Amino acid sequence: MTKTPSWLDHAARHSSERPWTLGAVLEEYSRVEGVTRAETASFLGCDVDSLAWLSLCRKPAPDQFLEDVSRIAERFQIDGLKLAQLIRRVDAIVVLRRTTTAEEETLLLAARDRDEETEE
Amino acid sequence: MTFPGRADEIALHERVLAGDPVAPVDVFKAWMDPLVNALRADLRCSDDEAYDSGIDAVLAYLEEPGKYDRGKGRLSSYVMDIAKKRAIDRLRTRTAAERRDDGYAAAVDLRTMNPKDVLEAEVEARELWQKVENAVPDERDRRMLKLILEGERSTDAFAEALELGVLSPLAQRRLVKQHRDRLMKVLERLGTRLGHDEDA
Repeated sequence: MTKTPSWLDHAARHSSERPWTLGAVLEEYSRVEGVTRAETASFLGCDVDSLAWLSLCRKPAPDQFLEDVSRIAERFQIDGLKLAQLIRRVDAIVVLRRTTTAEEETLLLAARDRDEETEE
Repeated sequence: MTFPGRADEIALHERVLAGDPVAPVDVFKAWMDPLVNALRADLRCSDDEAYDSGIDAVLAYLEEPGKYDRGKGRLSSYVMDIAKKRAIDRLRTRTAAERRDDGYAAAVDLRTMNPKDVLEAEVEARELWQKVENAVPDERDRRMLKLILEGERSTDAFAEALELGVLSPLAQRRLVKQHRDRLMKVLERLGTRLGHDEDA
Protein backbone atom coordinates (compact mmCIF):
# COMPACT_ATOMS: atom_id res chain seq x y z
CA MET A 1 0.00 0.00 0.00
CA THR A 2 1.29 3.45 -0.86
CA LYS A 3 0.33 6.79 0.70
CA THR A 4 -2.74 6.60 2.92
CA PRO A 5 -5.55 8.76 1.51
CA SER A 6 -7.25 11.16 3.90
CA TRP A 7 -10.66 9.59 3.26
CA LEU A 8 -9.60 6.06 4.23
CA ASP A 9 -10.65 6.25 7.88
CA HIS A 10 -14.07 7.60 6.87
CA ALA A 11 -14.45 4.83 4.31
CA ALA A 12 -13.48 2.12 6.78
CA ARG A 13 -15.92 3.48 9.33
CA HIS A 14 -18.80 3.67 6.85
CA SER A 15 -17.99 0.21 5.50
CA SER A 16 -18.16 -1.33 8.92
CA GLU A 17 -21.82 -0.30 9.04
CA ARG A 18 -22.62 -2.53 6.05
CA PRO A 19 -23.05 -6.21 6.91
CA TRP A 20 -21.69 -7.36 3.55
CA THR A 21 -18.27 -5.88 4.18
CA LEU A 22 -15.28 -7.35 5.93
CA GLY A 23 -15.28 -4.10 7.89
CA ALA A 24 -18.47 -5.17 9.67
CA VAL A 25 -16.80 -8.47 10.62
CA LEU A 26 -13.66 -6.75 11.88
CA GLU A 27 -15.71 -4.27 13.88
CA GLU A 28 -17.75 -7.05 15.46
CA TYR A 29 -14.60 -9.01 16.25
CA SER A 30 -13.01 -6.03 18.00
CA ARG A 31 -16.21 -5.44 19.95
CA VAL A 32 -16.80 -9.02 21.02
CA GLU A 33 -13.18 -9.77 21.87
CA GLY A 34 -12.75 -6.42 23.56
CA VAL A 35 -9.65 -5.60 21.53
CA THR A 36 -8.53 -2.43 19.79
CA ARG A 37 -8.17 -2.16 16.03
CA ALA A 38 -4.43 -2.16 16.51
CA GLU A 39 -4.69 -5.47 18.34
CA THR A 40 -6.89 -6.90 15.61
CA ALA A 41 -4.34 -5.75 13.04
CA SER A 42 -1.58 -7.37 15.07
CA PHE A 43 -3.56 -10.61 15.25
CA LEU A 44 -3.81 -10.67 11.47
CA GLY A 45 -0.20 -9.65 11.00
CA CYS A 46 -0.74 -6.23 9.43
CA ASP A 47 -0.74 -2.55 10.42
CA VAL A 48 -3.77 -0.39 11.18
CA ASP A 49 -3.77 1.22 7.72
CA SER A 50 -3.92 -2.18 6.09
CA LEU A 51 -6.77 -3.07 8.42
CA ALA A 52 -8.65 0.01 7.14
CA TRP A 53 -8.14 -1.16 3.55
CA LEU A 54 -9.22 -4.65 4.59
CA SER A 55 -12.44 -3.16 5.94
CA LEU A 56 -13.40 -2.12 2.42
CA CYS A 57 -13.30 -5.71 1.13
CA ARG A 58 -16.40 -7.74 0.51
CA LYS A 59 -16.92 -10.41 3.14
CA PRO A 60 -15.95 -13.84 1.75
CA ALA A 61 -18.94 -15.63 0.25
CA PRO A 62 -19.93 -18.86 2.04
CA ASP A 63 -19.79 -20.91 -1.16
CA GLN A 64 -16.24 -19.82 -2.01
CA PHE A 65 -15.02 -19.00 1.43
CA LEU A 66 -11.47 -20.37 1.25
CA GLU A 67 -10.90 -18.96 -2.21
CA ASP A 68 -12.05 -15.50 -1.14
CA VAL A 69 -10.04 -15.60 2.08
CA SER A 70 -6.95 -16.62 0.12
CA ARG A 71 -7.44 -13.79 -2.33
CA ILE A 72 -7.77 -11.23 0.45
CA ALA A 73 -4.81 -12.67 2.37
CA GLU A 74 -2.64 -12.65 -0.71
CA ARG A 75 -3.54 -9.06 -1.58
CA PHE A 76 -2.82 -7.74 1.89
CA GLN A 77 -0.05 -10.16 2.83
CA ILE A 78 -1.81 -11.31 5.97
CA ASP A 79 -2.27 -14.67 7.64
CA GLY A 80 -5.19 -16.30 5.78
CA LEU A 81 -5.77 -18.91 8.47
CA LYS A 82 -6.14 -16.25 11.12
CA LEU A 83 -8.49 -14.25 8.90
CA ALA A 84 -10.61 -17.36 8.35
CA GLN A 85 -10.60 -18.07 12.08
CA LEU A 86 -11.67 -14.49 12.84
CA ILE A 87 -14.53 -14.54 10.32
CA ARG A 88 -15.77 -17.95 11.50
CA ARG A 89 -15.77 -16.79 15.08
CA VAL A 90 -17.80 -13.69 14.28
CA ASP A 91 -20.18 -15.73 12.10
CA ALA A 92 -20.76 -18.11 14.98
CA ILE A 93 -21.45 -15.25 17.37
CA VAL A 94 -23.92 -13.68 14.97
CA VAL A 95 -25.76 -16.98 14.51
CA LEU A 96 -25.83 -17.65 18.25
CA ARG A 97 -27.08 -14.16 18.93
CA ARG A 98 -29.83 -14.54 16.36
CA THR A 99 -30.81 -17.93 17.83
CA THR A 100 -30.86 -16.57 21.35
CA THR A 101 -32.99 -13.62 20.29
CA ALA A 102 -35.42 -15.93 18.49
CA GLU A 103 -35.64 -18.20 21.55
CA GLU A 104 -36.26 -15.25 23.83
CA GLU A 105 -39.02 -14.03 21.54
CA THR A 106 -40.58 -17.51 21.49
CA LEU A 107 -40.44 -17.70 25.27
CA LEU A 108 -41.95 -14.25 25.61
CA LEU A 109 -44.76 -15.13 23.21
CA ALA A 110 -45.42 -18.37 25.09
CA ALA A 111 -45.49 -16.51 28.39
CA ARG A 112 -47.89 -13.93 26.98
CA ASP A 113 -50.20 -16.67 25.65
CA ARG A 114 -50.14 -18.36 29.03
CA ASP A 115 -51.02 -15.09 30.79
CA GLU A 116 -53.90 -14.47 28.42
CA GLU A 117 -55.24 -17.98 28.98
CA THR A 118 -55.04 -17.49 32.74
CA GLU A 119 -56.94 -14.20 32.52
CA GLU A 120 -59.72 -15.91 30.55
CA MET B 1 -6.92 12.30 -10.39
CA THR B 2 -9.37 11.45 -13.11
CA PHE B 3 -11.89 8.68 -13.40
CA PRO B 4 -10.63 5.47 -14.99
CA GLY B 5 -11.20 5.01 -18.71
CA ARG B 6 -14.25 3.21 -20.02
CA ALA B 7 -12.49 -0.14 -20.50
CA ASP B 8 -10.97 -0.04 -17.03
CA GLU B 9 -14.21 0.83 -15.33
CA ILE B 10 -16.05 -1.95 -17.15
CA ALA B 11 -13.37 -4.43 -16.10
CA LEU B 12 -13.72 -3.23 -12.51
CA HIS B 13 -17.51 -3.47 -12.74
CA GLU B 14 -17.24 -7.07 -13.95
CA ARG B 15 -15.07 -7.92 -10.94
CA VAL B 16 -17.60 -6.32 -8.61
CA LEU B 17 -20.44 -8.25 -10.23
CA ALA B 18 -18.47 -11.49 -9.91
CA GLY B 19 -18.15 -10.89 -6.17
CA ASP B 20 -14.37 -10.42 -6.14
CA PRO B 21 -13.78 -9.67 -2.44
CA VAL B 22 -10.97 -7.17 -3.10
CA ALA B 23 -12.67 -5.37 -5.99
CA PRO B 24 -14.23 -2.80 -3.58
CA VAL B 25 -10.73 -1.71 -2.56
CA ASP B 26 -9.87 -0.99 -6.19
CA VAL B 27 -13.18 0.79 -6.72
CA PHE B 28 -12.45 3.10 -3.81
CA LYS B 29 -8.92 3.70 -5.09
CA ALA B 30 -10.11 4.46 -8.59
CA TRP B 31 -13.05 6.73 -7.79
CA MET B 32 -12.71 8.41 -4.45
CA ASP B 33 -10.17 11.09 -5.36
CA PRO B 34 -11.97 12.23 -8.54
CA LEU B 35 -15.31 12.14 -6.70
CA VAL B 36 -14.01 14.19 -3.78
CA ASN B 37 -12.36 16.72 -6.08
CA ALA B 38 -15.52 17.15 -8.12
CA LEU B 39 -17.70 17.57 -5.03
CA ARG B 40 -15.36 20.15 -3.59
CA ALA B 41 -15.13 22.09 -6.85
CA ASP B 42 -18.73 21.86 -8.09
CA LEU B 43 -20.69 21.99 -4.85
CA ARG B 44 -18.16 23.66 -2.55
CA CYS B 45 -18.43 20.80 -0.10
CA SER B 46 -16.23 20.67 2.95
CA ASP B 47 -13.70 17.84 3.11
CA ASP B 48 -15.88 15.76 5.39
CA GLU B 49 -18.99 16.33 3.26
CA ALA B 50 -17.08 15.37 0.13
CA TYR B 51 -15.56 12.27 1.74
CA ASP B 52 -18.83 11.05 3.23
CA SER B 53 -20.84 11.70 0.05
CA GLY B 54 -18.24 9.99 -2.14
CA ILE B 55 -18.08 7.03 0.23
CA ASP B 56 -21.90 6.79 0.38
CA ALA B 57 -22.01 6.70 -3.42
CA VAL B 58 -19.32 4.06 -3.78
CA LEU B 59 -20.90 1.89 -1.10
CA ALA B 60 -24.36 2.29 -2.65
CA TYR B 61 -22.96 1.11 -5.97
CA LEU B 62 -21.05 -1.79 -4.38
CA GLU B 63 -24.11 -2.86 -2.42
CA GLU B 64 -26.22 -3.21 -5.56
CA PRO B 65 -23.92 -3.18 -8.59
CA GLY B 66 -26.66 -4.75 -10.69
CA LYS B 67 -28.59 -1.48 -10.55
CA TYR B 68 -26.09 0.15 -12.87
CA ASP B 69 -27.27 -0.08 -16.47
CA ARG B 70 -24.28 0.33 -18.77
CA GLY B 71 -26.64 1.19 -21.63
CA LYS B 72 -27.53 4.44 -19.88
CA GLY B 73 -24.06 5.90 -19.54
CA ARG B 74 -20.66 5.63 -17.95
CA LEU B 75 -20.31 3.99 -14.56
CA SER B 76 -18.33 6.99 -13.34
CA SER B 77 -21.28 9.26 -14.22
CA TYR B 78 -23.64 6.91 -12.40
CA VAL B 79 -21.54 6.98 -9.22
CA MET B 80 -20.95 10.73 -9.57
CA ASP B 81 -24.71 11.33 -9.74
CA ILE B 82 -25.26 9.39 -6.54
CA ALA B 83 -22.43 11.26 -4.84
CA LYS B 84 -23.82 14.66 -5.86
CA LYS B 85 -27.30 13.77 -4.62
CA ARG B 86 -25.88 12.71 -1.27
CA ALA B 87 -23.76 15.86 -1.11
CA ILE B 88 -26.76 18.09 -1.89
CA ASP B 89 -28.70 16.36 0.91
CA ARG B 90 -25.82 17.06 3.27
CA LEU B 91 -25.56 20.69 2.16
CA ARG B 92 -29.31 21.16 2.65
CA THR B 93 -29.08 19.68 6.11
CA ARG B 94 -26.15 21.93 6.96
CA THR B 95 -27.92 25.02 5.58
CA ALA B 96 -31.09 24.19 7.50
CA ALA B 97 -29.08 23.74 10.69
CA GLU B 98 -27.35 27.07 10.14
CA ARG B 99 -30.71 28.75 9.55
CA ARG B 100 -32.05 27.21 12.73
CA ASP B 101 -29.01 28.52 14.60
CA ASP B 102 -29.49 31.99 13.09
CA GLY B 103 -33.18 31.90 13.98
CA TYR B 104 -32.36 30.85 17.49
CA ALA B 105 -29.83 33.65 17.85
CA ALA B 106 -32.36 36.16 16.52
CA ALA B 107 -34.97 34.87 18.95
CA VAL B 108 -32.55 35.29 21.81
CA ASP B 109 -31.86 38.88 20.75
CA LEU B 110 -35.58 39.63 20.57
CA ARG B 111 -36.08 38.21 24.01
CA THR B 112 -33.34 40.43 25.29
CA MET B 113 -35.23 43.40 24.00
CA ASN B 114 -38.48 42.11 25.45
CA PRO B 115 -37.95 41.56 29.18
CA LYS B 116 -41.19 39.64 29.71
CA ASP B 117 -40.06 36.92 27.34
CA VAL B 118 -36.68 36.59 28.95
CA LEU B 119 -38.07 34.95 32.03
CA GLU B 120 -39.46 32.14 29.93
CA ALA B 121 -36.09 31.27 28.48
CA GLU B 122 -35.40 28.15 30.47
CA VAL B 123 -32.95 26.80 27.99
CA GLU B 124 -30.75 29.83 28.10
CA ALA B 125 -31.08 29.90 31.85
CA ARG B 126 -29.63 26.41 32.17
CA GLU B 127 -26.72 27.24 29.91
CA LEU B 128 -26.08 30.44 31.77
CA TRP B 129 -26.20 28.79 35.11
CA GLN B 130 -22.72 27.35 34.86
CA LYS B 131 -21.29 30.80 34.24
CA VAL B 132 -23.52 32.27 36.91
CA GLU B 133 -22.25 29.86 39.52
CA ASN B 134 -18.74 31.11 38.89
CA ALA B 135 -19.73 34.77 38.89
CA VAL B 136 -22.11 34.60 41.86
CA PRO B 137 -20.40 32.74 44.66
CA ASP B 138 -22.97 33.54 47.37
CA GLU B 139 -25.55 30.77 47.75
CA ARG B 140 -28.34 33.23 48.69
CA ASP B 141 -27.71 35.31 45.60
CA ARG B 142 -27.81 32.17 43.50
CA ARG B 143 -31.13 31.16 45.07
CA MET B 144 -32.50 34.57 44.12
CA LEU B 145 -31.18 34.24 40.60
CA LYS B 146 -32.84 30.88 40.25
CA LEU B 147 -36.14 32.42 41.28
CA ILE B 148 -35.68 35.21 38.73
CA LEU B 149 -34.94 32.72 35.99
CA GLU B 150 -37.94 30.62 36.99
CA GLY B 151 -40.18 33.65 36.56
CA GLU B 152 -40.74 34.43 40.22
CA ARG B 153 -41.83 38.04 40.90
CA SER B 154 -42.86 37.96 44.51
CA THR B 155 -40.81 40.09 46.90
CA ASP B 156 -41.66 37.65 49.69
CA ALA B 157 -40.12 34.77 47.76
CA PHE B 158 -37.00 36.77 47.07
CA ALA B 159 -36.79 37.92 50.68
CA GLU B 160 -37.01 34.30 51.81
CA ALA B 161 -34.26 33.30 49.39
CA LEU B 162 -32.09 36.09 50.72
CA GLU B 163 -32.97 35.19 54.33
CA LEU B 164 -34.42 38.65 55.06
CA GLY B 165 -37.39 37.33 57.02
CA VAL B 166 -36.60 39.31 60.15
CA LEU B 167 -36.78 42.69 58.37
CA SER B 168 -39.84 44.85 57.81
CA PRO B 169 -41.68 44.51 54.47
CA LEU B 170 -40.40 47.91 53.38
CA ALA B 171 -36.79 47.03 54.19
CA GLN B 172 -37.23 43.67 52.50
CA ARG B 173 -38.52 45.33 49.34
CA ARG B 174 -35.61 47.79 49.31
CA LEU B 175 -32.98 45.12 49.89
CA VAL B 176 -34.55 42.77 47.36
CA LYS B 177 -34.42 45.52 44.76
CA GLN B 178 -30.79 46.27 45.59
CA HIS B 179 -29.84 42.61 45.32
CA ARG B 180 -31.76 42.26 42.13
CA ASP B 181 -30.13 45.28 40.53
CA ARG B 182 -26.72 44.02 41.55
CA LEU B 183 -27.39 40.56 40.20
CA MET B 184 -28.59 41.96 36.90
CA LYS B 185 -25.34 43.90 36.56
CA VAL B 186 -23.43 40.70 37.20
CA LEU B 187 -25.44 39.03 34.46
CA GLU B 188 -24.82 41.94 32.12
CA ARG B 189 -21.11 41.63 32.75
CA LEU B 190 -21.42 37.98 31.86
CA GLY B 191 -22.79 39.06 28.54
CA THR B 192 -26.13 37.46 29.13
CA ARG B 193 -28.08 40.70 28.76
CA LEU B 194 -30.84 39.22 30.77
CA GLY B 195 -33.63 41.68 31.33
CA HIS B 196 -36.17 41.59 34.07
CA ASP B 197 -39.45 42.93 35.25
CA GLU B 198 -39.66 45.23 38.17
CA ASP B 199 -41.13 43.80 41.35
CA ALA B 200 -44.81 44.20 41.73
